[in-house]
Amino acid sequence: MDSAFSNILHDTIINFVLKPTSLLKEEVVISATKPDANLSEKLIGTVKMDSKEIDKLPGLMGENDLLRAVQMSAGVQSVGEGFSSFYVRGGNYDQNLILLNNATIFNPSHLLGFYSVFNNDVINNLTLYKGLIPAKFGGRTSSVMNIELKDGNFEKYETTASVGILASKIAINGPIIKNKLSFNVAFRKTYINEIINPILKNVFSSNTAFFDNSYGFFDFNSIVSARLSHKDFIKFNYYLGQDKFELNKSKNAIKANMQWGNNAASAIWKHVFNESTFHEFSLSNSQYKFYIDAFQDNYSLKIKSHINESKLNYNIYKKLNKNNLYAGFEINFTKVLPGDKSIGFNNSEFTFNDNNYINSGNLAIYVSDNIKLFSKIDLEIGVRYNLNFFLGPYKYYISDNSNILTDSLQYSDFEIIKKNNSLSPRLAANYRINENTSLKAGISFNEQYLHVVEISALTLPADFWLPTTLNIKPQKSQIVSTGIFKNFFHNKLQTNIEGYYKKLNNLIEYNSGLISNYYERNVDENVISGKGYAWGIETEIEFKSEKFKSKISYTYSRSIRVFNDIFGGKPFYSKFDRPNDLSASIIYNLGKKLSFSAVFVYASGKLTTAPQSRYIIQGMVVNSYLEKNSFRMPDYHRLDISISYNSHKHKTYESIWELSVYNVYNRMNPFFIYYEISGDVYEYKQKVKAKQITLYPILPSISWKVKF
Amino acid sequence: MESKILKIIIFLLIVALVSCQKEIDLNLPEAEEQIVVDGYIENNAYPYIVLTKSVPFFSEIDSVKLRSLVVTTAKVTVTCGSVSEILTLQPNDKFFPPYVYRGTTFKGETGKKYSLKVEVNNKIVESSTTITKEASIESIWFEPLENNDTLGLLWMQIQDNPDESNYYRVLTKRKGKDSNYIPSMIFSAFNDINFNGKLFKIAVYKGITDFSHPLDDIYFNIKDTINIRLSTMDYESYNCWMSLQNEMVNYGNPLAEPNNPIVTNITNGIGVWSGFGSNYYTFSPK
Repeated sequence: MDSAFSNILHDTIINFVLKPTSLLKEEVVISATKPDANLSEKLIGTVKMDSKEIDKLPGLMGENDLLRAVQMSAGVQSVGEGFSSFYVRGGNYDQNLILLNNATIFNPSHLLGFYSVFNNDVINNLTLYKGLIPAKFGGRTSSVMNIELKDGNFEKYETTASVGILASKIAINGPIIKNKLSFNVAFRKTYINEIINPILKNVFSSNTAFFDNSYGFFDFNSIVSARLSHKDFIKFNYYLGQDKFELNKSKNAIKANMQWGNNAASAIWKHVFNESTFHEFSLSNSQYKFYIDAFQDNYSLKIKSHINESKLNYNIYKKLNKNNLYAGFEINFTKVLPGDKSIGFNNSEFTFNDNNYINSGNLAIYVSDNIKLFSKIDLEIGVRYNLNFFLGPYKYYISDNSNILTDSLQYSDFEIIKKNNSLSPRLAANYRINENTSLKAGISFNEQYLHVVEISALTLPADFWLPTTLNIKPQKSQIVSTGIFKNFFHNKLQTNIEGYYKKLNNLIEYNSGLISNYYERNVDENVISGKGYAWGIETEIEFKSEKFKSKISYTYSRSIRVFNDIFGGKPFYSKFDRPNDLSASIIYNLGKKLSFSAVFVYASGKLTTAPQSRYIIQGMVVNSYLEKNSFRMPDYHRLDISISYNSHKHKTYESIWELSVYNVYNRMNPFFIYYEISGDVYEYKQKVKAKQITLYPILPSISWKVKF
Repeated sequence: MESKILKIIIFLLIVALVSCQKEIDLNLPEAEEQIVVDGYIENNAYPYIVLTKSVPFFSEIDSVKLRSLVVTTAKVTVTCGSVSEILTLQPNDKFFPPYVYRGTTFKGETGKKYSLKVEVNNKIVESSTTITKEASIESIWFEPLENNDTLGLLWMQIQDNPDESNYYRVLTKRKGKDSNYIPSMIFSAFNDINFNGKLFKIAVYKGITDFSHPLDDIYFNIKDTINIRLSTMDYESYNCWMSLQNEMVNYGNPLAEPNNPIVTNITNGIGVWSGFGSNYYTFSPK
């Protein structure tokens, strides 16, 4: 099979129709991945995974999650429990472009991080570019995660359903018109509110405090794929997900209602001209909405944010002798409603800004070539030209030196307020020293025009996006990386060591938290900008055999920030600076029915700005703090295990039970630390205690999955 | 059997959904003890200064400890032009702190600059401030809350000076209830950014003294007799008060991490030394 795939250097359509034959009794594995793919992969820092690999790792609450699986790779770190977002090589979490069949996903996390928004049942594969981003992708400075969804089967129907403790899901795919048109739909829903809460209420009728909260999410995926001819292929994808959290504590008169969700739609048309040329055209729209409404007594807080991106892509691919070329363009238009917030006391309401939607547009053209030199060297050269527009309507307020409002400018619809452009080249080389060894290197320059403004020390669904404006410059990054890849025992043992250095410019932060005393006239007024530097060494060892698979990744890295407005420009470690990061996994198949898997993760503790001392001013206690992010919380580590038992394995029907335990030894990992203050200076008594919140203690769970 | 399974499921669920909380010991680096200045000079009033020391974050404060924080052995000098006075330590039994440094020779005058020098334990702590021109409240009124006959807010109307940037501070004291002036909640320090030169109105919320319980009642009772202090101050003092106010509101909030230290106009110490141009008013809603 290998030779048939060795000439494929880019996305290519190959339709295989496998005819059943009575002669075959053994299972045939058809894989698009070569056994030495790690050596032949041209771009350094590329991670590839398919949904089957993800399925084999232990799940949290019975769910095998794509983002948790990716975080097992060196250089990819979890934001923390409770959130599915990730950091790549010391960059911020908004610097990762996440694409679901070409549509951007702005927030990949469902509440509590139990689940990412990606349902593994409809995922085909994912590719993460953590070092060298190909020219056809743009708009982010750290990485691109390209997720491809599974087309429905064109021949027969397939159903997968699973029942877990917190949620259940069902996925059905099959032909609409045999060999012409297929569908793949999946639906997941939690049933804490509908089923579990009422049961609990009956059992523990005396203790109702627990039931004051209600939480739920659902998500829905649908893919419709059409083979118009043997040269034309069209697919439509629609994703919708929604999280809802309600808190109702009658005792303290606290009420909160929080909702958020993504929706993403895309259409892709592939047309093959001839053996060496094909093109791809895609249209997409992605949205992320967040809303919170909270009350306590007479106080109220409302925050609303929304981002809406529409995008058009065109790529043409051509194979020319030893060159594999592609070129294309991207046009997108983005509307952002940044955290529109208001606080009310009784009936009076204070709005902190009165901006409406902020518009921006981007145009990018790019060309890339992959050249084979002397049969041993693969060279990838790409360049992307970006043009970004900050567009009206927009009202800009002007103040004088003493911050007194002197004037305002009103920009009309689609008026170009500010234009940014840049040329971002990239170069990658893979030198195949011998059959078992390759040496890779790459350098890339990247720009980013959309930025997340984090509203607190934690990563929250309320964090909002802001485009590049008059006061916010485009983020820029330069990434240099090199590594050596070596395989042993006929590619069964794969190893690599990579090093990288990354420079980030025009990073942004919110100056003084979400609700400050300052009135903002312009939405970007309270935003400060700075620089970042990150470097690290990553190493991975992977062993694969039929029965046993194991992977260990270790990263040593540092990530530094320098902001003129923070501690007078003194460098400080970014909160994503976690020098030691280790992940290890094993998957062991004990016969055909039983399999065992385990995952261990370890990371240096998260950095925080800790208080140092207290003092009294006008009878009130105030804190003085240590330098920014100078205090490291306790280290993070945990072990997860899972046993999966295939009780019926039949040609047409499968039943799988999975028992998994998350955080086996019940490590109390810190989620955040807070300080509980009791007493009053006026009563001449005050006490402070540090309290640590742990999100997930030991979590056993059981799930049942059927396939037919 | 069914009920057992149910219990197991419930156990798993509770384990799953309730996060754990525990008290921990944090090994914070030892903090250097600093001199804290909490002082002001008002028009037509003698300077008033409280000197205390900062304490390590986790130290428990009781009445003995609190008293030991008060600095009573300093030489405190306030200078205006060629005139200077060494302040004397006086007991203050009404509220914390038990001792304050007060002047008796000269009172504050609008437009003048006042320097402060504190000498204690071979350390010199210094600052300076200016008394800005006072502002007047044109009118004060009480607005009860909806569906509430007794609680409400005060509103006041102030004429802002159009020729300069003005910085305001509002404090209140309820007769028979509060022992001192407490900064108003929400708008205790503000500037004229949105109403330069205008006749503007602003709400006055009752201040709170304990920010570890920030959701205490912030309204006045219709039966209260309220003393209001409207002060103006210079830009430096305003920055200190804004920064302090931000910290007080976020006190104990695990999600708010400061980017910068609290602003101070004190050299070799922390805290604030402000000149206030003040006017005092008394208002009874009934």
